Amino acid sequence: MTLASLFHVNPAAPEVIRIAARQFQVYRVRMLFWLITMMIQLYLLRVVWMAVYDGRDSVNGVPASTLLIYLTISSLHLFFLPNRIVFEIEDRISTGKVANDLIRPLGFMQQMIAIQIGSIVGSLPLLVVVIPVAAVVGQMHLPSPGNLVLYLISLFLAFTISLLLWMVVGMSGFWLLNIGGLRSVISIAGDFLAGALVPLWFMPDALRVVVQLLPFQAMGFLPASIFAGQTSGMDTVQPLMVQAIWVVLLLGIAKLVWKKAQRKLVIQGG
Amino acid sequence: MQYRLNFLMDVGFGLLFQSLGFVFVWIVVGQFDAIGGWSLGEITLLYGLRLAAHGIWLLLFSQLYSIDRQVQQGEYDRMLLRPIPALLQLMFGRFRVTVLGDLLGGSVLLGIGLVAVDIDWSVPKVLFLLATLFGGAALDGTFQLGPAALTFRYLDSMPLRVIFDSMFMYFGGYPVTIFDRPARFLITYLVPLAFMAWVPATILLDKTSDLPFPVWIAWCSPAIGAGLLAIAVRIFLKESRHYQSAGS
Repeated sequence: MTLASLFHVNPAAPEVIRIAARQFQVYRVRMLFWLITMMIQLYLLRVVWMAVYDGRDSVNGVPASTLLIYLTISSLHLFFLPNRIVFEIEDRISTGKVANDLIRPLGFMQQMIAIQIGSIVGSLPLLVVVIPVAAVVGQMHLPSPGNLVLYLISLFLAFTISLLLWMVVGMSGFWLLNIGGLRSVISIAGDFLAGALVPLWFMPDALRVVVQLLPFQAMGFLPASIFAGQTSGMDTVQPLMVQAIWVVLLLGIAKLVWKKAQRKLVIQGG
Repeated sequence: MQYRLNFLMDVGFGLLFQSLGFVFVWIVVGQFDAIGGWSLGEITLLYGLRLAAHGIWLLLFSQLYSIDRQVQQGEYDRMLLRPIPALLQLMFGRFRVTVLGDLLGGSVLLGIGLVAVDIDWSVPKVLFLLATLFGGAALDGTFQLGPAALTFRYLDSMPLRVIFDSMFMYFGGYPVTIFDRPARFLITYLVPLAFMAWVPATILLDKTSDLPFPVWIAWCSPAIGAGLLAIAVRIFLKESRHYQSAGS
């Protein structure tokens, strides 16, 4: 099964996407408060980083404006990256709804992916508000056309990696039953390991080596670095390859875990 | 202990959530030696002071977290029926395990900070440090208990509490002098979270020249926290009379 067949369009899929996009409306107020919290965090990041730059234009070869753009786009990534899928899977396993999902004509994983895509589609109108606000709190500057194209490719790969990773975390619920703690730990550590607070440029060497071996940097740091213009031209080949490898790897893991999970399924209170 | 892994994950989450904030400062300050004239040791003390006070507050009031649900579902009824004040029941009811992570992280950082910096100790300073931990907890609590009072009328105060919580978390662990003017004004006078850790830390570290007001006000930090909490308690009790239980 290739990536294309995972997204194979079953006639039911667009409907699920549409419904999930509409369901997103329910979370409007919650998203607003998330947005405020995120902006406070972005503001703090800007203040702290500028305090350590202390008037210098550039530190370790990273200009202050590049860093600010990087931090801003990273915050936006965190806001829109796919994670609803893990909540959906968690909910369906713990309530036993998964039993109904399994008898639907659309495969369980395809349903979850469709819901996740729908939730992103539903959140897109927010960009109209979020981008200008983020630009004021942080700093925003569009990359060169070449970098913009590379960024969009990198962003797509980052979204796919994030989707697959959260899918695997969600499926671990078939064994662990309660994954709230695990989900929170991965989510918080993941933001950090994705370079949302400290870009990889400034991490101590030992930490950076570890971070480069994990998938999180491919979900945040790599596209943000391209957007900010710190990585461009031929230098983007390697990051894009790394991302592609993670997609293939996680796709394999997801398929394997799902195969095992089907035998493991426990319906609570059934 | 039905879900042992989950219990550990919860404690780990509390610890991780707060300590990553510190890891961030640690990396940044480590790379650049100082921030706003504060060394890594001094920042550690400041950060630990805030986190430990936050942990104390949570230890006493972690159940406040679920007040929205209790009021919406009418579970608050049960508290009113028992012969103990509802507020005390809220304090000593179920307890969220993540709290232990906050308290652990805060104590460790505070300990490291106290060892790392050279403090000119005196009896008033020791007493002041102890009072500060509780005053800080009270200040933190003021901006949780106060907003929580809104739940009785509006059924939902979570978003507001989350915003105050993130303000305390993001601004509380840094020297106030690094922020720009409007932000400094906000966190010193409007939501005076500066009094939770930064103001007391300037006394411990003899950095009172950074303060925008006379030193005696800084010595009053714990009293300011206690006074504000007393007001928040009054508001909470007054508003709790608007509790209507669940419909039906």
